[in-house]
Amino acid sequence: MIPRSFGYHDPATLDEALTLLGEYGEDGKLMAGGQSLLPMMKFRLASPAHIVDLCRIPGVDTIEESNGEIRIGALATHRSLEDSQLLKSRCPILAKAASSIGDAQVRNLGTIGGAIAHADPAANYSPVLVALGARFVVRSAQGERVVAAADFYKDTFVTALRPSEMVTEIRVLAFGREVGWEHAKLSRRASDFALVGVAVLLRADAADVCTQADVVLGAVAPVPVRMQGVEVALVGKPLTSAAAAQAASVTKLGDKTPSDVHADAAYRAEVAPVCVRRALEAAINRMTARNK
Amino acid sequence: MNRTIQTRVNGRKSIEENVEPRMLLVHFLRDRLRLTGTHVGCDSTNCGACTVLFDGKAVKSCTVLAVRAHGHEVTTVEGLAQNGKLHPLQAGFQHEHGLQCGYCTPGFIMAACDLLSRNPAPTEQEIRLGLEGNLCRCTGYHNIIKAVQWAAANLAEGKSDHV
Repeated sequence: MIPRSFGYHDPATLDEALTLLGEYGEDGKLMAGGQSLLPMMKFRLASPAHIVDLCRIPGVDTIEESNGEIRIGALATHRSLEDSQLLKSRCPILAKAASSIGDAQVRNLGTIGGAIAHADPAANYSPVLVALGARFVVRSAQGERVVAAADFYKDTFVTALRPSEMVTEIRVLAFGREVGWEHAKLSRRASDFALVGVAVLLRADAADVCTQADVVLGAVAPVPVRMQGVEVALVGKPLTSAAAAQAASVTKLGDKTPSDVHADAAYRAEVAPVCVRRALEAAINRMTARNK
Repeated sequence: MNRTIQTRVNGRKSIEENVEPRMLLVHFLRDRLRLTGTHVGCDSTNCGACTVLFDGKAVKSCTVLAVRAHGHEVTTVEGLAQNGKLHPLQAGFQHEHGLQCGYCTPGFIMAACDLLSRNPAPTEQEIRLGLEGNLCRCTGYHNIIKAVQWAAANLAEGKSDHV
Protein backbone atom coordinates (compact mmCIF):
# COMPACT_ATOMS: atom_id res chain seq x y z
CA MET A 1 0.00 0.00 0.00
CA ILE A 2 1.30 3.42 -0.87
CA PRO A 3 -0.30 6.81 -0.30
CA ARG A 4 -1.75 8.93 -3.07
CA SER A 5 0.73 11.43 -4.49
CA PHE A 6 1.19 14.64 -2.55
CA GLY A 7 3.29 17.77 -2.62
CA TYR A 8 6.10 17.31 -0.12
CA HIS A 9 7.65 20.09 1.94
CA ASP A 10 10.22 19.65 4.68
CA PRO A 11 10.89 23.16 5.99
CA ALA A 12 13.89 23.83 8.23
CA THR A 13 12.12 26.20 10.62
CA LEU A 14 8.83 26.41 12.45
CA ASP A 15 8.06 29.77 10.85
CA GLU A 16 8.45 28.31 7.37
CA ALA A 17 6.23 25.38 8.30
CA LEU A 18 3.52 27.70 9.60
CA THR A 19 3.73 29.86 6.47
CA LEU A 20 3.29 26.77 4.29
CA LEU A 21 0.40 25.58 6.44
CA GLY A 22 -1.24 28.99 6.17
CA GLU A 23 -0.81 28.88 2.39
CA TYR A 24 -2.31 25.42 1.89
CA GLY A 25 -5.06 25.64 4.53
CA GLU A 26 -7.39 22.64 4.32
CA ASP A 27 -5.23 21.09 1.58
CA GLY A 28 -2.16 20.92 3.81
CA LYS A 29 -1.41 18.51 6.60
CA LEU A 30 1.42 18.56 9.09
CA MET A 31 3.35 15.32 9.55
CA ALA A 32 5.12 14.92 12.89
CA GLY A 33 6.05 11.28 13.61
CA GLY A 34 3.62 10.10 10.96
CA GLN A 35 2.65 7.00 12.92
CA SER A 36 -1.09 7.69 12.59
CA LEU A 37 -1.15 9.93 9.53
CA LEU A 38 0.94 7.72 7.24
CA PRO A 39 -1.12 4.54 7.86
CA MET A 40 -4.27 6.60 7.19
CA MET A 41 -2.71 7.83 3.94
CA LYS A 42 -1.73 4.28 2.95
CA PHE A 43 -5.28 3.08 3.56
CA ARG A 44 -6.42 6.14 1.57
CA LEU A 45 -8.51 7.29 4.53
CA ALA A 46 -6.62 10.56 4.23
CA SER A 47 -5.22 12.02 1.01
CA PRO A 48 -3.78 15.45 1.77
CA ALA A 49 -2.67 17.40 -1.30
CA HIS A 50 0.35 18.73 0.60
CA ILE A 51 2.41 17.27 3.41
CA VAL A 52 4.41 19.68 5.54
CA ASP A 53 6.91 17.36 7.18
CA LEU A 54 8.23 18.66 10.51
CA CYS A 55 11.13 16.19 10.69
CA ARG A 56 13.84 18.77 9.87
CA ILE A 57 12.84 21.40 12.42
CA PRO A 58 15.24 21.45 15.35
CA GLY A 59 14.58 22.47 18.93
CA VAL A 60 10.86 21.70 19.20
CA ASP A 61 11.44 18.50 21.16
CA THR A 62 12.82 19.69 24.49
CA ILE A 63 11.40 18.82 27.92
CA GLU A 64 12.19 21.49 30.52
CA GLU A 65 10.93 22.75 33.85
CA SER A 66 10.83 26.38 34.84
CA ASN A 67 9.05 27.83 37.90
CA GLY A 68 7.18 24.61 38.59
CA GLU A 69 5.89 24.30 35.06
CA ILE A 70 7.05 21.63 32.64
CA ARG A 71 7.21 22.62 28.99
CA ILE A 72 7.30 19.87 26.42
CA GLY A 73 8.08 20.62 22.79
CA ALA A 74 5.39 19.24 20.50
CA LEU A 75 7.90 17.15 18.53
CA ALA A 76 9.17 15.29 21.59
CA THR A 77 8.72 11.58 20.89
CA HIS A 78 6.81 9.23 23.15
CA ARG A 79 10.13 7.52 23.76
CA SER A 80 11.74 10.72 24.99
CA LEU A 81 8.82 11.31 27.37
CA GLU A 82 9.00 7.72 28.56
CA ASP A 83 12.73 8.03 29.22
CA SER A 84 12.73 11.59 30.61
CA GLN A 85 14.22 11.71 34.10
CA LEU A 86 12.53 15.09 34.59
CA LEU A 87 9.09 13.65 33.86
CA LYS A 88 9.75 10.52 35.91
CA SER A 89 10.36 12.65 38.98
CA ARG A 90 8.17 15.71 38.29
CA CYS A 91 5.23 14.40 36.23
CA PRO A 92 5.46 10.61 36.30
CA ILE A 93 1.90 10.07 35.10
CA LEU A 94 2.87 11.51 31.72
CA ALA A 95 5.98 9.31 31.44
CA LYS A 96 3.86 6.27 32.23
CA ALA A 97 1.17 7.23 29.72
CA ALA A 98 3.87 7.62 27.05
CA SER A 99 5.39 4.23 27.83
CA SER A 100 2.32 2.25 26.83
CA ILE A 101 1.58 3.95 23.52
CA GLY A 102 1.77 1.56 20.56
CA ASP A 103 5.03 -0.35 20.61
CA ALA A 104 8.71 0.55 20.84
CA GLN A 105 9.03 1.29 17.12
CA VAL A 106 5.99 3.56 17.12
CA ARG A 107 7.20 5.35 20.26
CA ASN A 108 10.55 6.04 18.59
CA LEU A 109 8.82 8.19 15.96
CA GLY A 110 5.43 9.25 17.29
CA THR A 111 5.26 12.64 19.03
CA ILE A 112 3.13 14.12 21.78
CA GLY A 113 2.08 17.05 19.62
CA GLY A 114 1.09 14.75 16.79
CA ALA A 115 -0.93 12.55 19.12
CA ILE A 116 -2.71 15.57 20.61
CA ALA A 117 -3.58 17.05 17.23
CA HIS A 118 -4.73 13.67 15.89
CA ALA A 119 -7.19 13.46 18.85
CA ASP A 120 -7.99 9.78 18.71
CA PRO A 121 -10.56 9.34 21.51
CA ALA A 122 -8.82 6.14 22.65
CA ALA A 123 -5.32 7.64 22.81
CA ASN A 124 -3.31 7.61 26.02
CA TYR A 125 -2.44 11.26 26.56
CA SER A 126 -5.81 13.00 26.35
CA PRO A 127 -7.36 11.94 29.70
CA VAL A 128 -4.01 12.49 31.43
CA LEU A 129 -3.60 15.98 30.00
CA VAL A 130 -7.14 16.97 30.93
CA ALA A 131 -6.61 15.63 34.47
CA LEU A 132 -3.36 17.60 34.72
CA GLY A 133 -5.05 20.80 33.54
CA ALA A 134 -2.50 20.98 30.73
CA ARG A 135 -2.33 23.94 28.39
CA PHE A 136 -1.35 23.76 24.76
CA VAL A 137 0.55 26.51 22.98
CA VAL A 138 -0.96 26.82 19.52
CA ARG A 139 0.75 28.81 16.78
CA SER A 140 -0.03 29.98 13.29
CA ALA A 141 1.77 32.42 11.01
CA GLN A 142 -0.50 35.09 12.52
CA GLY A 143 0.39 34.52 16.14
CA GLU A 144 0.08 32.39 19.21
CA ARG A 145 -2.63 31.41 21.66
CA VAL A 146 -2.89 29.07 24.61
CA VAL A 147 -5.72 26.53 24.80
CA ALA A 148 -6.62 24.50 27.88
CA ALA A 149 -6.68 20.74 27.29
CA ALA A 150 -10.28 20.64 28.52
CA ASP A 151 -11.29 23.10 25.75
CA PHE A 152 -9.10 21.54 23.04
CA TYR A 153 -10.83 18.25 22.32
CA LYS A 154 -14.07 18.85 20.41
CA ASP A 155 -15.09 15.49 18.94
CA THR A 156 -13.65 12.27 17.52
CA PHE A 157 -10.51 13.40 15.61
CA VAL A 158 -11.72 17.01 15.92
CA THR A 159 -9.91 19.69 17.93
CA ALA A 160 -9.94 23.43 18.50
CA LEU A 161 -7.08 23.76 15.96
CA ARG A 162 -7.76 25.86 12.90
CA PRO A 163 -6.34 24.56 9.59
CA SER A 164 -3.47 27.06 9.80
CA GLU A 165 -2.51 26.20 13.38
CA MET A 166 -0.09 23.83 15.02
CA VAL A 167 0.37 22.71 18.63
CA THR A 168 3.95 23.74 19.43
CA GLU A 169 4.23 23.18 23.17
CA ILE A 170 2.50 21.35 26.02
CA ARG A 171 2.58 22.89 29.50
CA VAL A 172 1.78 21.02 32.69
CA LEU A 173 2.36 21.81 36.35
CA ALA A 174 5.06 19.70 37.95
CA PHE A 175 4.25 17.75 41.08
CA GLY A 176 6.10 15.64 43.61
CA ARG A 177 5.38 12.73 45.88
CA GLU A 178 2.53 14.59 47.56
CA VAL A 179 0.28 13.60 44.65
CA GLY A 180 -1.10 10.10 44.19
CA TRP A 181 -1.43 9.29 40.51
CA GLU A 182 -2.19 6.58 38.01
CA HIS A 183 -2.69 6.14 34.31
CA ALA A 184 -4.07 2.81 33.23
CA LYS A 185 -5.88 1.42 30.26
CA LEU A 186 -7.88 -1.65 29.61
CA SER A 187 -6.94 -3.08 26.24
CA ARG A 188 -6.90 -6.49 24.63
CA ARG A 189 -3.12 -6.47 24.29
CA ALA A 190 -0.47 -4.15 25.70
CA SER A 191 0.10 -2.29 22.43
CA ASP A 192 -3.56 -1.74 21.61
CA PHE A 193 -5.59 1.41 21.96
CA ALA A 194 -7.60 1.70 25.17
CA LEU A 195 -11.10 0.27 25.51
CA VAL A 196 -11.22 2.34 28.68
CA GLY A 197 -8.43 4.73 29.71
CA VAL A 198 -8.19 6.25 33.19
CA ALA A 199 -6.15 9.13 34.57
CA VAL A 200 -6.22 9.80 38.31
CA LEU A 201 -4.53 12.53 40.39
CA LEU A 202 -5.21 12.71 44.14
CA ARG A 203 -4.13 15.26 46.70
CA ALA A 204 -4.62 14.90 50.45
CA ASP A 205 -3.87 16.63 53.73
CA ALA A 206 -1.49 15.30 56.39
CA ALA A 207 -4.17 12.92 57.68
CA ASP A 208 -4.66 11.43 54.17
CA VAL A 209 -8.04 13.09 53.79
CA CYS A 210 -8.59 13.85 50.10
CA THR A 211 -8.45 17.56 49.27
CA GLN A 212 -8.56 17.30 45.49
CA ALA A 213 -9.37 14.55 43.04
CA ASP A 214 -9.03 14.58 39.27
CA VAL A 215 -10.48 11.52 37.54
CA VAL A 216 -10.74 11.59 33.75
CA LEU A 217 -11.66 8.76 31.39
CA GLY A 218 -10.61 8.24 27.79
CA ALA A 219 -12.08 6.00 25.06
CA VAL A 220 -15.59 6.12 26.53
CA ALA A 221 -16.75 9.19 24.60
CA PRO A 222 -15.59 11.26 21.60
CA VAL A 223 -13.55 13.42 24.02
CA PRO A 224 -12.00 12.84 27.47
CA VAL A 225 -14.64 12.90 30.21
CA ARG A 226 -14.16 14.15 33.76
CA MET A 227 -15.91 11.89 36.29
CA GLN A 228 -17.26 14.65 38.49
CA GLY A 229 -19.38 12.30 40.58
CA VAL A 230 -16.32 10.22 41.46
CA GLU A 231 -14.31 13.33 42.30
CA VAL A 232 -17.03 14.70 44.58
CA ALA A 233 -17.34 11.33 46.30
CA LEU A 234 -13.63 11.37 47.14
CA VAL A 235 -13.03 14.90 48.38
CA GLY A 236 -13.27 15.15 52.16
CA LYS A 237 -12.94 11.41 52.65
CA PRO A 238 -9.93 9.55 54.07
CA LEU A 239 -8.18 7.88 51.13
CA THR A 240 -8.74 4.19 51.76
CA SER A 241 -9.56 1.34 49.44
CA ALA A 242 -13.11 1.39 50.81
CA ALA A 243 -13.39 5.04 49.76
CA ALA A 244 -11.95 4.14 46.34
CA ALA A 245 -14.50 1.38 45.86
CA GLN A 246 -17.38 3.60 46.95
CA ALA A 247 -16.31 6.49 44.71
CA ALA A 248 -15.62 4.20 41.72
CA SER A 249 -19.16 2.84 41.94
CA VAL A 250 -20.41 6.32 41.01
CA THR A 251 -18.66 6.08 37.60
CA LYS A 252 -21.23 6.80 34.95
CA LEU A 253 -20.75 6.90 31.21
CA GLY A 254 -22.76 9.14 28.93
CA ASP A 255 -24.91 8.29 25.93
CA LYS A 256 -22.03 8.86 23.49
CA THR A 257 -20.11 5.81 24.68
CA PRO A 258 -18.73 4.18 21.54
CA SER A 259 -19.36 0.61 20.42
CA ASP A 260 -16.98 -1.22 18.14
CA VAL A 261 -15.89 -4.78 17.36
CA HIS A 262 -13.72 -4.90 20.48
CA ALA A 263 -16.15 -3.54 23.05
CA ASP A 264 -19.72 -2.35 22.89
CA ALA A 265 -21.02 0.51 25.01
CA ALA A 266 -22.61 -1.81 27.57
CA TYR A 267 -19.29 -3.61 28.09
CA ARG A 268 -17.43 -0.32 28.53
CA ALA A 269 -20.06 0.83 31.06
CA GLU A 270 -19.60 -2.44 32.94
CA VAL A 271 -15.78 -2.33 33.11
CA ALA A 272 -15.29 1.42 33.56
CA PRO A 273 -16.06 1.41 37.32
CA VAL A 274 -13.64 -1.48 37.77
CA CYS A 275 -10.91 0.42 35.89
CA VAL A 276 -11.60 3.52 38.01
CA ARG A 277 -11.44 1.54 41.27
CA ARG A 278 -8.13 -0.08 40.34
CA ALA A 279 -6.65 3.25 39.27
CA LEU A 280 -7.80 4.94 42.47
CA GLU A 281 -6.26 2.14 44.54
CA ALA A 282 -2.97 2.43 42.67
CA ALA A 283 -2.96 6.21 43.20
CA ILE A 284 -3.73 5.82 46.90
CA ASN A 285 -0.96 3.23 47.27
CA ARG A 286 1.53 5.59 45.66
CA MET A 287 0.42 8.38 47.96
CA THR A 288 0.69 6.34 51.15
CA ALA A 289 4.06 4.96 50.03
CA ARG A 290 5.42 8.54 50.11
CA ASN A 291 5.29 8.50 53.91
CA LYS A 292 7.48 5.43 54.17
CA MET B 1 8.52 16.79 -7.04
CA ASN B 2 10.90 13.86 -6.83
CA ARG B 3 13.96 14.16 -4.67
CA THR B 4 17.56 13.06 -4.61
CA ILE B 5 18.25 11.49 -1.27
CA GLN B 6 21.59 10.91 0.30
CA THR B 7 21.76 8.38 3.10
CA ARG B 8 24.22 6.15 4.87
CA VAL B 9 22.88 2.60 4.79
CA ASN B 10 24.79 -0.10 6.65
CA GLY B 11 27.75 2.26 6.84
CA ARG B 12 27.83 2.88 3.10
CA LYS B 13 26.98 6.21 1.51
CA SER B 14 24.16 6.02 -0.97
CA ILE B 15 22.85 8.64 -3.36
CA GLU B 16 19.57 7.84 -5.03
CA GLU B 17 17.98 10.15 -7.55
CA ASN B 18 14.38 10.60 -8.49
CA VAL B 19 12.74 9.33 -5.32
CA GLU B 20 9.02 9.97 -5.17
CA PRO B 21 8.02 11.58 -1.82
CA ARG B 22 5.35 8.92 -1.27
CA MET B 23 7.85 6.08 -1.55
CA LEU B 24 8.08 4.20 1.74
CA LEU B 25 11.44 3.49 3.30
CA VAL B 26 10.91 -0.27 3.09
CA HIS B 27 10.41 -0.09 -0.71
CA PHE B 28 13.40 2.20 -1.02
CA LEU B 29 15.57 -0.33 0.79
CA ARG B 30 14.23 -3.36 -1.06
CA ASP B 31 13.59 -2.04 -4.56
CA ARG B 32 16.20 0.69 -4.92
CA LEU B 33 19.06 -0.63 -2.79
CA ARG B 34 18.19 -4.32 -3.26
CA LEU B 35 18.44 -4.93 0.47
CA THR B 36 15.73 -7.56 0.58
CA GLY B 37 16.51 -8.75 4.10
CA THR B 38 13.97 -6.20 5.31
CA HIS B 39 10.58 -7.83 4.80
CA VAL B 40 7.12 -6.48 4.13
CA GLY B 41 4.64 -8.25 6.37
CA CYS B 42 1.37 -6.57 7.27
CA ASP B 43 2.26 -3.25 5.62
CA SER B 44 0.19 -1.52 8.30
CA THR B 45 2.50 -0.79 11.27
CA ASN B 46 1.50 -3.90 13.18
CA CYS B 47 3.79 -6.85 12.52
CA GLY B 48 7.27 -5.33 12.71
CA ALA B 49 8.75 -7.49 9.90
CA CYS B 50 10.04 -4.30 8.22
CA THR B 51 11.86 -3.02 11.33
CA VAL B 52 15.18 -1.27 10.65
CA LEU B 53 17.35 1.06 12.69
CA PHE B 54 16.96 4.74 11.82
CA ASP B 55 19.81 6.65 13.48
CA GLY B 56 20.13 3.66 15.79
CA LYS B 57 16.47 3.49 16.80
CA ALA B 58 14.09 0.77 15.68
CA VAL B 59 11.34 1.98 13.34
CA LYS B 60 8.82 0.27 11.10
CA SER B 61 10.08 1.12 7.63
CA CYS B 62 6.61 0.65 6.10
CA THR B 63 5.59 3.72 8.12
CA VAL B 64 8.42 6.10 7.24
CA LEU B 65 8.71 8.10 4.04
CA ALA B 66 12.00 7.32 2.28
CA VAL B 67 12.67 11.04 1.77
CA ARG B 68 12.93 11.34 5.56
CA ALA B 69 16.07 9.24 5.48
CA HIS B 70 17.94 12.00 3.63
CA GLY B 71 20.91 12.92 5.78
CA HIS B 72 20.33 10.02 8.16
CA GLU B 73 21.72 6.58 8.87
CA VAL B 74 19.81 3.37 8.31
CA THR B 75 20.87 -0.10 9.42
CA THR B 76 19.22 -3.22 8.05
CA VAL B 77 19.82 -6.84 8.97
CA GLU B 78 22.44 -6.99 6.18
CA GLY B 79 24.51 -4.47 8.12
CA LEU B 80 24.86 -6.43 11.34
CA ALA B 81 27.50 -9.06 10.56
CA GLN B 82 31.06 -7.74 10.81
CA ASN B 83 33.97 -9.24 8.88
CA GLY B 84 31.95 -12.33 8.04
CA LYS B 85 30.99 -12.94 11.65
CA LEU B 86 27.37 -12.93 12.68
CA HIS B 87 26.13 -10.35 15.17
CA PRO B 88 25.39 -11.99 18.56
CA LEU B 89 21.67 -11.52 17.92
CA GLN B 90 21.91 -13.35 14.61
CA ALA B 91 23.98 -16.05 16.26
CA GLY B 92 21.50 -16.20 19.13
CA PHE B 93 18.55 -16.79 16.82
CA GLN B 94 20.53 -19.58 15.15
CA HIS B 95 21.80 -21.08 18.39
CA GLU B 96 18.45 -21.04 20.20
CA HIS B 97 16.38 -21.87 17.10
CA GLY B 98 14.52 -18.58 17.41
CA LEU B 99 12.75 -19.03 14.09
CA GLN B 100 10.85 -21.45 11.94
CA CYS B 101 9.84 -19.89 8.63
CA GLY B 102 12.15 -16.93 9.26
CA TYR B 103 9.94 -14.27 7.74
CA CYS B 104 9.69 -12.19 10.90
CA THR B 105 13.30 -12.79 11.95
CA PRO B 106 15.08 -9.72 10.50
CA GLY B 107 12.48 -7.46 12.11
CA PHE B 108 12.84 -9.21 15.46
CA ILE B 109 16.61 -8.95 15.30
CA MET B 110 16.54 -5.22 14.51
CA ALA B 111 13.96 -4.52 17.23
CA ALA B 112 16.08 -6.53 19.67
CA CYS B 113 19.14 -4.45 18.68
CA ASP B 114 17.34 -1.33 19.88
CA LEU B 115 16.09 -3.12 23.00
CA LEU B 116 19.58 -4.30 24.00
CA SER B 117 21.11 -0.90 23.28
CA ARG B 118 18.67 0.62 25.80
CA ASN B 119 18.74 -2.25 28.25
CA PRO B 120 21.74 -4.61 27.91
CA ALA B 121 20.45 -7.06 30.54
CA PRO B 122 16.67 -7.27 30.12
CA THR B 123 14.49 -9.64 32.12
CA GLU B 124 12.25 -12.08 30.27
CA GLN B 125 9.30 -9.75 30.90
CA GLU B 126 11.25 -6.76 29.57
CA ILE B 127 12.12 -8.69 26.42
CA ARG B 128 8.49 -9.69 25.89
CA LEU B 129 7.32 -6.09 26.39
CA GLY B 130 10.20 -4.66 24.36
CA LEU B 131 9.35 -6.84 21.37
CA GLU B 132 5.60 -6.29 21.52
CA GLY B 133 5.78 -4.52 18.17
CA ASN B 134 6.84 -7.69 16.38
CA LEU B 135 4.67 -10.66 15.51
CA CYS B 136 5.79 -14.25 14.91
CA ARG B 137 3.18 -16.75 13.76
CA CYS B 138 5.40 -19.85 14.04
CA THR B 139 7.37 -20.05 17.23
CA GLY B 140 5.15 -19.04 20.11
CA TYR B 141 7.97 -16.63 21.01
CA HIS B 142 9.71 -18.87 23.56
CA ASN B 143 12.83 -19.42 21.52
CA ILE B 144 12.89 -15.82 20.39
CA ILE B 145 13.11 -14.77 24.04
CA LYS B 146 15.90 -17.30 24.57
CA ALA B 147 17.74 -16.02 21.50
CA VAL B 148 17.68 -12.45 22.85
CA GLN B 149 18.83 -13.68 26.27
CA TRP B 150 21.65 -15.61 24.57
CA ALA B 151 22.69 -12.48 22.68
CA ALA B 152 22.53 -10.32 25.82
CA ALA B 153 24.75 -12.77 27.71
CA ASN B 154 27.25 -12.98 24.86
CA LEU B 155 27.31 -9.24 24.28
CA ALA B 156 27.99 -8.80 28.00
CA GLU B 157 30.97 -11.10 27.76
CA GLY B 158 32.22 -9.09 24.82
CA LYS B 159 32.11 -12.05 22.47
CA SER B 160 30.81 -11.62 18.99
CA ASP B 161 32.16 -14.67 17.23
CA HIS B 162 29.95 -17.43 18.52
CA VAL B 163 29.32 -19.36 15.36
